[in-house]
Amino acid sequence: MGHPNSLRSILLKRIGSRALLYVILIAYAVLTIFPFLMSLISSFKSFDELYASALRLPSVWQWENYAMAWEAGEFAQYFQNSVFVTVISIVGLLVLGSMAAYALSRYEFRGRRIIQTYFLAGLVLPFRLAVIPVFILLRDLGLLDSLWGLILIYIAADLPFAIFILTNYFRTLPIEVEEAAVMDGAGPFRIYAQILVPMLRPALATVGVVVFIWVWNDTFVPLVFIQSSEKFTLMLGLTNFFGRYLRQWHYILAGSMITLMPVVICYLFASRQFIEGLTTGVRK
Amino acid sequence: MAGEWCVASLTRFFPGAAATMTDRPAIGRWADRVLSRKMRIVLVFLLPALAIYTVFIAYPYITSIIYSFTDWIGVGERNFIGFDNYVRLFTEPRMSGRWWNAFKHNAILFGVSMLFTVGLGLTFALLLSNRKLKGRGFFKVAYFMPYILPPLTAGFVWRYILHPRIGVVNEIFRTAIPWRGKLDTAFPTVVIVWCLRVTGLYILFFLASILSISNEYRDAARVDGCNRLKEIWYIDLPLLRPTILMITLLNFINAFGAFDMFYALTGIDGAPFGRTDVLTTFFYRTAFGTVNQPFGEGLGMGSAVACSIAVFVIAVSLVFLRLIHRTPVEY
Amino acid sequence: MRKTLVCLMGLMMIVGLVSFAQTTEVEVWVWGQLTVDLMAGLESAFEAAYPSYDAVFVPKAAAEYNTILTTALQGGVGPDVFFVRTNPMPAEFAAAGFIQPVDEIVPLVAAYDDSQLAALSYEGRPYGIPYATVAFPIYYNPEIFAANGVSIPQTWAEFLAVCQTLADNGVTPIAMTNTNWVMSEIVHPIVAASFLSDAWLEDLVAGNVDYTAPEFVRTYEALEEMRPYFAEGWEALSYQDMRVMFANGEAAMVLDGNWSAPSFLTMNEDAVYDFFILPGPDGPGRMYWRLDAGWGINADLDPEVDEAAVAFLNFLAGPTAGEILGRDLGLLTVQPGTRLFLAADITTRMNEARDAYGVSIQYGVGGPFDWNAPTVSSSIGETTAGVLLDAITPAEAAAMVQETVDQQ
Repeated sequence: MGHPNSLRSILLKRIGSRALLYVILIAYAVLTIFPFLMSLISSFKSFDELYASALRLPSVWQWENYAMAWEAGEFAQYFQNSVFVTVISIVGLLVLGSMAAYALSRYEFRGRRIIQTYFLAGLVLPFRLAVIPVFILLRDLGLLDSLWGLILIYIAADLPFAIFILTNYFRTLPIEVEEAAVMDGAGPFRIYAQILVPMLRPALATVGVVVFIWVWNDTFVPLVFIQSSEKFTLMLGLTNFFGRYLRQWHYILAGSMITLMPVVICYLFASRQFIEGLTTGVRK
Repeated sequence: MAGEWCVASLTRFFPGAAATMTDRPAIGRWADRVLSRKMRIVLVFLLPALAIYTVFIAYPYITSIIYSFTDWIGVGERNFIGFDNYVRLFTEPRMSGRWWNAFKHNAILFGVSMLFTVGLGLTFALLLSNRKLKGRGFFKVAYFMPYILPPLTAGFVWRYILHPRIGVVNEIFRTAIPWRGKLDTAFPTVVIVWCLRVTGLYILFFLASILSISNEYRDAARVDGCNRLKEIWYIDLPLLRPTILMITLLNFINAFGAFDMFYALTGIDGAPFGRTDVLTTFFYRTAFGTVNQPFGEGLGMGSAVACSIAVFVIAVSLVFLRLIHRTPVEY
Repeated sequence: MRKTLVCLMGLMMIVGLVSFAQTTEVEVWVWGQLTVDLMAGLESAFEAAYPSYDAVFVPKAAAEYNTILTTALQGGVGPDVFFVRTNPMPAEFAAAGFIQPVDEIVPLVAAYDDSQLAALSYEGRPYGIPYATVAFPIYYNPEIFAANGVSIPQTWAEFLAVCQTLADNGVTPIAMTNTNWVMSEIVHPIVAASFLSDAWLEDLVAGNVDYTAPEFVRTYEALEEMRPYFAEGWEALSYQDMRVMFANGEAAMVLDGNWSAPSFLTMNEDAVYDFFILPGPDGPGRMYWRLDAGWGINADLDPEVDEAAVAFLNFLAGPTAGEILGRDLGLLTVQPGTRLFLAADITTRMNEARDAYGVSIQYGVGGPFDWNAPTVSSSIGETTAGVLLDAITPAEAAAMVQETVDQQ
C-alpha cells in the first residue's frame, strides 16, 4: 500500500498548509511588533542618521539620547509620580472592589440588583464626559493639582470594571468553603480576609493587570487635573517633552521608549499572567 | 423626631434594620437580628466603594446633565436655558454638521474595528488554536503587545513612522506621502493604527474562549467524522456566540469613546479639516476650546455634547445587553 | 554694654541676611519652551533690579495654553503673572474676578496707546500690560534666491513667477505646516494684508460688507495659487518642522511671524534669512501687525507675592524689558521709551516696515469679530486649511466664515 506520488503529495499538502499557517501568523506578528522594535532601534540613532534612512541600523548606538531625554524630560520625578498613583490606585481599587463584590455576591438584600446595575452603568460611560463637574468637585475639595485627586478618580472610574469581574468570579466559587467557615463561627470579616481573598487571587490579578495598564497609560486625567510640573505623571511628562523637542525625533523616540519600558518589561516577564489575567474574565 | 424619621426611612430600605432600633425579646427576634446584622455587614462592605463611586462618578454625571441646561462659559455666571443647547447642537448647521461628522467617524471606526477584531481576530484565534501549533506563546505575546503600550506614546511613535520624510512607511514604499495630513488618507490611517492596536486583545479573548470549549464536544465531533472546518462551523462558532456579542459591545463602547490615539496622531482639531474628528475630540474642543477660541462653545454646550454622546452609548448598550441575554446556546 | 551692642548688631545682621536670602518667587506662565529659553535675559535683569524677588518662568504647551490657564485659575492654582491673549480672554477673566486691573498698580500704563490697551480691557479698564506686537512678513533665504537668480518680487505675479523658477530648479519654494492656528494667525493674514484695502476693511468693521464679498474670496484664491509651491508632505508637517525646514535651507521661503527670527538661529546656527513683504496684485504689499498678548496678574495673591508680582509687572512695562525682549526674542515691543536700535537689525527693519506698510485694521484674529464664540479666527483657520487641502472652494470658505460670524 502506498503510492509514492500521493504520499509525497499528501506530505507536501501537509507541509504546505502548515507553512502557510506559519507565514500568516509570523507576518501579522511582524506587523504588530515592528513599530515598537523600529522605534526602539531608531531611538539610538543620531539626528542626522534618522534623517538619512529609517531602516538602517545606527552606526553608533547613541545612549546619550536616553541620558538627555531622561534629564531634560525630568522623567525621574514623573516616574515616581506614576508609580505612586498606579500602585495606590490598584490597591485601593482591589480592596474596595472586592469588598463590594463580596457584599453583592454573597448577600441577598433588597436593592441588590439596583446597586449592581448602578455600578454596571459606569462601565458603559466614558469618564471624559463627566470631566467638568469632577473638576469643580476636586477644586472645591482642594484636591486639584494633587496626586491623591487622581487616585480617587481612578479608583472611582475603575470600580465598575472591578466589581463586574469580581462578582462574575464569585459566582464560580464554591459556597461550601464559606458555609463551613460560618459553621465554625467565623465572622464575615474573617471569611472575607482569610478565605475569600486568597480564593479571589486570579480575578484580583486580572483586575490588577488591566487597571495597571489603564492607569499607567492614561494621559487625559492628569492632563486636566494636574498643573504643577513636579506632579506630572510619566505620560503627561512625555506630552510636555514632545511639545518642547518637537522636531528632535531622536530625543522624542528615546523619551517615548523610556515611558514604554516599564510596561513592556513587566509584560515580557509576566506575559502569561497578563494574558491569562485579561482573558479569565472571558472564560468565566 | 429625627430618630423616628431615621427609623422610618431605614425600615423602608432595609426592613431588618428597624428591629435593632427597638427593644425586643432576644430569642424571638433572632431572625430579625441576623437580618439587620446582615444589613450592617453589607453596608460596611459596600459603602466605601459606593461612596467613592457616587461622589466621583455618579454625581458628576448628573451634574453634567444639569450643566448642559445652562449657558455657562466656564467662568462667570451660569443661567438656566432649558434645552437651548441641545436644540442648537442639532439644528445649527455648524454644530450639528460637526457632530454628525464626528459621529460618522466613530461609526466607521466601529464598523472597521468589528471587521478587524471579529473577522481578523477570530480567524487568527482559530489559527492559533490549532493543537499542533508551536510557539503559540510567542504569537500571543507579539499580538498583544500593541495593546499594552500607552496609546499616547504609540501615537507619537506612529507619527514618526508615518512621517513624510523620515518615516519607515514612506521609505519602504519610496513615497513621501503625508499620511496623517492628506485629506483622503488621514482617517483611514488613524483607523488602521487604532485597529492594529486593539485587535490583539480580542484575538486573545477569542483564543481563550475557543480553548475553553470542552473537549467532550470535540471528541464527539471527531467520532462523527468531522474535520477541522466542520468542527469550527458547528461547534466553535455557535459556542462563541456570546463571546462575539460581548466583544461587539466592547468594541462599540471603545469605538465611541476613542480619544488617545486620535489626539496623539492628529491633534485635537480633527485635522485635516475635520476628517479625523471624533465625538470625544469634538467634545473636548467644544468644552475646553482651542488656541483661537479660548473658551470653546462654553461648558454648558460642552456638557450637552457629552450628554448626547452618553445617551446614545447607553441606549445602544442596553439594547445590546438585551440581545445577549436572549441567546443561550444549548446542546 | 559692649556685649549688648555686639549681640544687637549680630541680630540685625542675621535678620538682614535672612530677609535677603528669602526671595519671594513670582511664578510666570508663558507659552512655549523656546520662549522661556529666550527670556533668560529678562529674568536675570529683573532679579538684578529686585534682588529679593525671583521670577520663575514656567512654559505651558502653546496649543493647550488657554485650557490650562483657565482651569488653573478656576481651580485657584493659577500662576502669579501670565500671558493673556487679547479679548475675549481678559474680559472673561476680569468678569470672573481672576485678574486685577493694571491701571492703578502700573503707572506706566498711562503712557501706552489706547488702541493697544483696548484689546486687553474690560469695562474701560485695562487688565493686562501689552506684551509685544507681532508682525507677519515673509522670510526668505537670500543665498537660495541669489543662487537661483531670483530677486524680491514686486507684484503678485512676480511672486508666483519666483516660486515657479525655484520649483523648476528643484528647490522647495515655500515651507508650510498644517496647523489651524498658524493658518488663522499667520498664513491668511499675510496674504490678506496685500489683498484687502483699508477702505474695504473699514467697510467690514462698519458692517457695510461682509466676508462673502469678492475681495475676501480673492484672498482664498490667492492662497490656492500659492499651494503648488508648498513643500511636499506639508500636510503632515508641524509648525516646528516647517521652521526647521527653512532654517536648514531646505526651503526658500516661509510664512511666519516676527518672533521666529531669533528662533531660526537656535535651530541652525548658520541660518541665513531676511524678509520681504508679500506683494499685492498691483504692487507693493502691506504687512499685518497686531498686539499679540498681554501680561495679566492674578487677583488672588498673598500680599508678599502680590507685591513681587506688581513689581514684575512694572518692570515688564518699562523700557528695559522692552529692549531685552526686542534683542533676545526679536519682538516688536510696545514699551514706551524703548531704544529699538539696541534690538537686532532685522527687528529694527521690521519695525520700520510696520510703520511704512502696516495694516492695523483687524479682520480676523484680534478683530471685532473675535470677541465672542464662535470666533471668526477659528473659522478663518479652518477654512484656510480647507482651501489649501482642497476640501472646499474659496467661495465656500468665505461663506463658512460669514456663517460663523452670523452665529455670534
